[in-house]
Amino acid sequence: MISHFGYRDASGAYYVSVDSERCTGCGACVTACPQQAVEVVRTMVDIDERDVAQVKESCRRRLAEVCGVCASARRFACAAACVPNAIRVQWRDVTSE
Amino acid sequence: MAEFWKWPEYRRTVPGKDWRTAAVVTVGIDVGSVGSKAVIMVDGEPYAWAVRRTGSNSPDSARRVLDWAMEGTGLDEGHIHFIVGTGYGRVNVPMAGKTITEIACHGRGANFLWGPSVRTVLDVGGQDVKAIRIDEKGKVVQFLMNDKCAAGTGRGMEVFADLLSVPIEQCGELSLSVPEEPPPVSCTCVVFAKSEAVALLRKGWPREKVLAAYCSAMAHRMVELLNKVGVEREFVITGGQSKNVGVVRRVERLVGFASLPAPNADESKPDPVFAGAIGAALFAKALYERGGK
Repeated sequence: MISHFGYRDASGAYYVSVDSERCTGCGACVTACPQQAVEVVRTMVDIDERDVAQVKESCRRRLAEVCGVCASARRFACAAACVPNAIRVQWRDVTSE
Repeated sequence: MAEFWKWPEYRRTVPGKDWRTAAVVTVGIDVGSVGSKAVIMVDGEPYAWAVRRTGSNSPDSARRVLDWAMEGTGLDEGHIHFIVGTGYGRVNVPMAGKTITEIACHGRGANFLWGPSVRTVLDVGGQDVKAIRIDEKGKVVQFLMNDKCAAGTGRGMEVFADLLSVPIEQCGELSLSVPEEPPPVSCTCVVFAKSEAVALLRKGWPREKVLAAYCSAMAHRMVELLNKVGVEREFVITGGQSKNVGVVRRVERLVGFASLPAPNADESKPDPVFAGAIGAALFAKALYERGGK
């Protein structure tokens, strides 16, 4: 299951997407994120529960600023740290294009 | 003063069914921000259901809606094998053996209501909108939730019903009566959308035109979400706003094809407002059978 966290607004589109089939819950993304925006939580996958990464609720509505640090470095720390390639980041600010 | 936002609560028991002859009785309780739903299933088939407005006290809402669903059936909580709680207020369903996210429950419920051909579910709740892609088993493969604010949700519609003094069940139909579609309200926030609507009324816009502009804005927001996960047929709409034809028709126009109609023509199945609670009751059965009691 791919969970998209984020939104699109007049300024652009900002999403962090986590694939629970690939995520092992190792927490490498949690350590890597310079903004402490990621957490690993018990999540229902079918009717079983597993540890899966997600974007913290408090950060989901402001990914434009939260992920701005990595965006300007052109390297998203969470995705770069993820060995099974479970995290993808889309961060597109149309106002600066 | 009349309360135009107040949508009707209702309950139903399927005639000719008896829980006493059933092997498994399970319940799904979906406590939403605006409505609380309970579905009682016997051997995996809907038996009785009810929807009530969620009060300020969530545990109480869960209790009240379950009591109402059981009313007149002779059932009491002791007869129920397993209860699953879901929805925004799922942590506040004290009698639940387990809580499950509403995303999973809506996927499963849509699969039950419309069958295995459903691939895309748009759930428009009281305070959030979810775009969900499911497989032929109702398993969620992708989802996106917009919980940014109440804009484009059922709660926003309630605010408009009150502002325009139109009973909420009539808002959708009335919004479709405009001779020409107005531009959508900018609608970044219900508070702003409301003041925008007041300005439009002052400019002399009739109520239906203001409603059309708001329904159109809601539809645009929903389709943005749908586009992120990709809309694939068959496509269905669940949640309270599935009853709002003003929003449903506009979403369909933007998507380019129709959503499947509600499958409850004979009233043997709950309507799409109950999708989450149905999914929860089905998960309850699976958990019970796996020995999760």
